[in-house]
Amino acid sequence: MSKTAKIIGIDLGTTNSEAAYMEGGAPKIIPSAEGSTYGGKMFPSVVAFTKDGQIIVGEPAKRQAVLNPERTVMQIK
Amino acid sequence: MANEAPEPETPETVPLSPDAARLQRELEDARKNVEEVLTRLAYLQAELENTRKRAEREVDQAVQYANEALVSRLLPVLDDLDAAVLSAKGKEGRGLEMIRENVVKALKESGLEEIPSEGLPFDPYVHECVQLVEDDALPDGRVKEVVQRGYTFRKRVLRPARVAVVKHPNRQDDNEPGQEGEQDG
Repeated sequence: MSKTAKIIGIDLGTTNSEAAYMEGGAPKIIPSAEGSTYGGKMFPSVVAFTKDGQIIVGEPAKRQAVLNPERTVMQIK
Repeated sequence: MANEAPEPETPETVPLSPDAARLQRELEDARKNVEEVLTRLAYLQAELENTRKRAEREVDQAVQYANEALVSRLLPVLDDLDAAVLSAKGKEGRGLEMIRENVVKALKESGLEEIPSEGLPFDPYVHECVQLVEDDALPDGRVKEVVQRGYTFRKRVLRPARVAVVKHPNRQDDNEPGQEGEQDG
């Protein structure tokens, strides 16, 4: 039996984003590995490009925004 | 050579009676239905298996991180103790420090670790930059000072350390090649 394709729903918000999939007929939010916003499973809609070429997203990207404002994208919508 | 044997008439060539045709259609429909149901069953079985595995994993995690919420709520108390130690002097200060050490020791035993920060390169996965400072003795991107201590709980970041990071507004740390030559002249 081949593996079935999974569908995930993504909500790209201005401030926060989240992704969910269906499990047993109910949507389930996928927690972010890098940590979530306080009291939720969302993560900040922030992307950062570091000087050494790394791309950081979510909570860590938000944490370095003060240090690296020219290369941090937030509130994009 | 021998005469060719007369070919037996295949059943397909015989026109079916209306009843037989109907029965054949029904049989085909039923077969299709069974196939669909079996496929659906296989999907459900796979999903059940996945759910079971995930539930097991979640239970393991829940057990491992059972105290996370409680420890998390104790962090502000630790912060207050930090502040109290800083502001108290003499005997009183020493007493507070000992209390703090004991609290930290107890929490350490259940998995709390302080995130090392001061003097290290800023790491957004464990640090949060809340302030920029200048310091000629340190290169850009180094943590100069810890504003609020950060902690991990069983290797997972419970709260990032809030830090002041060195950054010189006029220092160019990434020298781009041909910078001089590209100047307008």
